[in-house]
Amino acid sequence: MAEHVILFGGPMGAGKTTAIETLSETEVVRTEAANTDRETADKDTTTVALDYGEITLGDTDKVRLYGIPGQQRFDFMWSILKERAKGMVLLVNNDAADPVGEMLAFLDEFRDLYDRGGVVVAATRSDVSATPTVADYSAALTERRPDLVVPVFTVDPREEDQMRTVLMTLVANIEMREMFLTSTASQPTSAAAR
Amino acid sequence: MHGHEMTFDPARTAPAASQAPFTGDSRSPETTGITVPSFGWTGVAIALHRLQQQPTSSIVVVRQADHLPLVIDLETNAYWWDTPLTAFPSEPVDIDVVVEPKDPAVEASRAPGTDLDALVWLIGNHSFLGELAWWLQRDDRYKLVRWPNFTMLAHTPEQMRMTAMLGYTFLPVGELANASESDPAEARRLINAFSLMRLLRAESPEPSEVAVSADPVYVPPAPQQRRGGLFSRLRDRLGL
Repeated sequence: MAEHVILFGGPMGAGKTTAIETLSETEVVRTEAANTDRETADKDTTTVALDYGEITLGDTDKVRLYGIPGQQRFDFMWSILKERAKGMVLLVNNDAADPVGEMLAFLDEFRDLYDRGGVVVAATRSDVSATPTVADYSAALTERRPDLVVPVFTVDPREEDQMRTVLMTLVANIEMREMFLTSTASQPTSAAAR
Repeated sequence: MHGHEMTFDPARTAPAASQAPFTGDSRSPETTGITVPSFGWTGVAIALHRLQQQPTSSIVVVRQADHLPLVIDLETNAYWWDTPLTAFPSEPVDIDVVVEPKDPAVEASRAPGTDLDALVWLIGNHSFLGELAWWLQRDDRYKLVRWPNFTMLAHTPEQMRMTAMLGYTFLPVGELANASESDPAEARRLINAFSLMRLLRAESPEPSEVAVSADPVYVPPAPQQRRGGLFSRLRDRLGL
């Protein structure tokens, strides 16, 4: 069975666990513990290891959804998972102090996925704070990598339709990149054509 | 009449309908014996495009049968309309489009509007009868500047795949349809909508690159041919 690992990353409190719960067909394995960092996110618990959910596609494929801890002190987990990952949904909290800066910091950590076109940015809590807009995020991303057009959406991680759009977009983007890289690589060079 | 007021005059664009007042409605009683194409939201799209090209402190007012007026303000990227977009009339009846200067007194009393993107997306998808918008060129190549906020827009998986393609490379509309195995009319509607939403950049081909042949004929792929990648399997699994 083919396995496709999708990561859900982002700062603490951005909605990673909720997003996986919304998409997973199985009960999500949650590994939360009491949150001792109330200054960053005012919630009772936070992910300290991994959240896990999955979507089975017939007998042939399984999409594994991993929520990775948002706190930098758990970044050893990131390096293990990003090697196996096909792509990442990067959730950022729109009413955080500097959501654009947080997005860019995470992308630096996951540069390989970013370079492969395997990232979709999902801004949560845009109903609480209307800015930054998706255009603001996109402008910052374009400044960083003008050659990449990274999808940026506003999402409510509890909404199934929205999370499906995010996941499908991530997969579409990865497949299109693979298709264009393949077609580019298979085109004969002028020397070879002779 | 204001200096820069303009109305959409389809008689200049539809010879078959030149004897009839434009209503945007193919069932117009004035056209007995003549099939008049429904221009739908084309007039609104043209008005919006003109204002994008020559910004003025104006609003677009759209009147149509069975709906209260729709007011669009490009400057603030907002609109005001009692009709929810879930009830968007894809074939508006008796449509009338007017661009008029803003009245400061009215503007001051108006409640905050609704973000315009979702409306413009629908207008772009329901104008020009599935042909390319008049300001776009068939041989030009288009690439995405940024993604639309698809979680807030009604869209199809095919539109999502075409958008992903446009994120990676410049493509003419015909090639976009061909590469994504989509109906060319759907590709044109997508490009029209993205153009109105100002999400595209275009580059013109060198004269020697301009193809003399027509767009390839669209043949919908058989269902089993669509089952290639993870995207297709996820689409099936999620019932999209």
